[in-house]
Amino acid sequence: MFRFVVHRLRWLARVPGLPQLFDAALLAWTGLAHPARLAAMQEIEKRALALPGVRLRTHRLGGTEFARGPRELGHLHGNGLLDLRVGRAQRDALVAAGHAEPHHVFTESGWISFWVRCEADVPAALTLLTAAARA
Amino acid sequence: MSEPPATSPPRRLLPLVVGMLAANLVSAALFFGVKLLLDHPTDPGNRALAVPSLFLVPLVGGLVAAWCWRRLQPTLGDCLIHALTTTLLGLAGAAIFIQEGAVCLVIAAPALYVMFLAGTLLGRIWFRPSDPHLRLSILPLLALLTYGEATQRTDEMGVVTDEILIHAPPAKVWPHVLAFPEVPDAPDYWIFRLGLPYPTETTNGGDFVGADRQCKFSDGIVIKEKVAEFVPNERLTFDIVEQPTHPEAYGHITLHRGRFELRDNHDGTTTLIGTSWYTLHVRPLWYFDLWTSDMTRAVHLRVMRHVQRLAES
Repeated sequence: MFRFVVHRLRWLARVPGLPQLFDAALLAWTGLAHPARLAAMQEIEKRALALPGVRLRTHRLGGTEFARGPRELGHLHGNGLLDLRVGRAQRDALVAAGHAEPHHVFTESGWISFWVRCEADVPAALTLLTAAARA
Repeated sequence: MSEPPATSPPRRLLPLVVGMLAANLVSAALFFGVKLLLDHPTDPGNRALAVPSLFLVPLVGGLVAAWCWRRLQPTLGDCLIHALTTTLLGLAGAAIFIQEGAVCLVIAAPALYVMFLAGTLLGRIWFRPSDPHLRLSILPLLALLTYGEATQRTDEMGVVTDEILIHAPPAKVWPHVLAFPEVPDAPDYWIFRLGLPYPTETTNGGDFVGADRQCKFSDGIVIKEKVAEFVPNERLTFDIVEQPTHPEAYGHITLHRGRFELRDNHDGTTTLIGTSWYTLHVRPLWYFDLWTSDMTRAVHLRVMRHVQRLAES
């Protein structure tokens, strides 16, 4: 469903508020069907805010954005998909090592994607977030 | 900038309840305020412009709640639970204070919840105590948008068509299309069981254009119709001359016309085609039309299956 919307209905993201509505629906589903994932997402948010200078913003394509100053580090979608901007060099190394996947839409960019599924994924997600802050 | 500590648990209850009440009160004020501004005093039957978007109103409510909850620093899970509680509170209020029907509440609930949640999620970040930009100005802008959306919309007529195959020739099907006795079956569609009136019987005042018809529904509802087209064994079209006043339908929908067509398959069978035309007054249209199409289909099939049983017996 998420893949279909992101790949086939991407043009709908131009409608103001629609990405946020879609993300809210994703989050509602996560809370209902995957409570462990929701708990992990909350933990990532809490621990990300403890990183120096990191604050939350609303992401233009839905989800919670992590930013430091004016720069976006990444964002967490309502279904637990964490997208991070780590730069091309780190991206190649992280993907090659199997620590992350290429970004789910912009596969050749300096972005990566990481699925948060349970509490066990939290340390890895924070390591990647720290890598994004270094980039 | 560091975050101030979240409010301690015993002190969370008051702002939480205040947020829930404020969200519902502001939503109700916005809904009825826009409704009042748009109602047609000289034409109370025309409610086409009078129902504000049920996407925008809960979005505003969610932002209001998030502003009241800003010092609680709600997590994603908190937002999910508090948005649910607030939505249920609003639905209970609608049932008690404006006697909204159970079916309407069930249909509206998912849209209200998701939009309220979206507002809460946006607001919990926009209104964080550490954020230097307090974006309260978004609220009057959204209220204006709610008003503007209602004034700019145009009515669109919806059409639902269904067909079934009847193992009888058109001449045997036709009399049962004109009128049929009470449908003995209990309703099998879940929304009928929840309280949506379902068709039980149809009477016919004459075999000519202009004749009165009555379609009787459960709960004593009678929809008065007038024959607009009468082609024996082929087509019966009727206009709805009096709208139902049941709380599940009143003000939300205008029924325009219905039609039965009989297509002779020349093998002793008939394809019975039922069509209904209506205009929905609730928004967003795409969301409510999904439900309306499904319910109209259930009404069609209940009647057409009864006609099928009578014609094939």
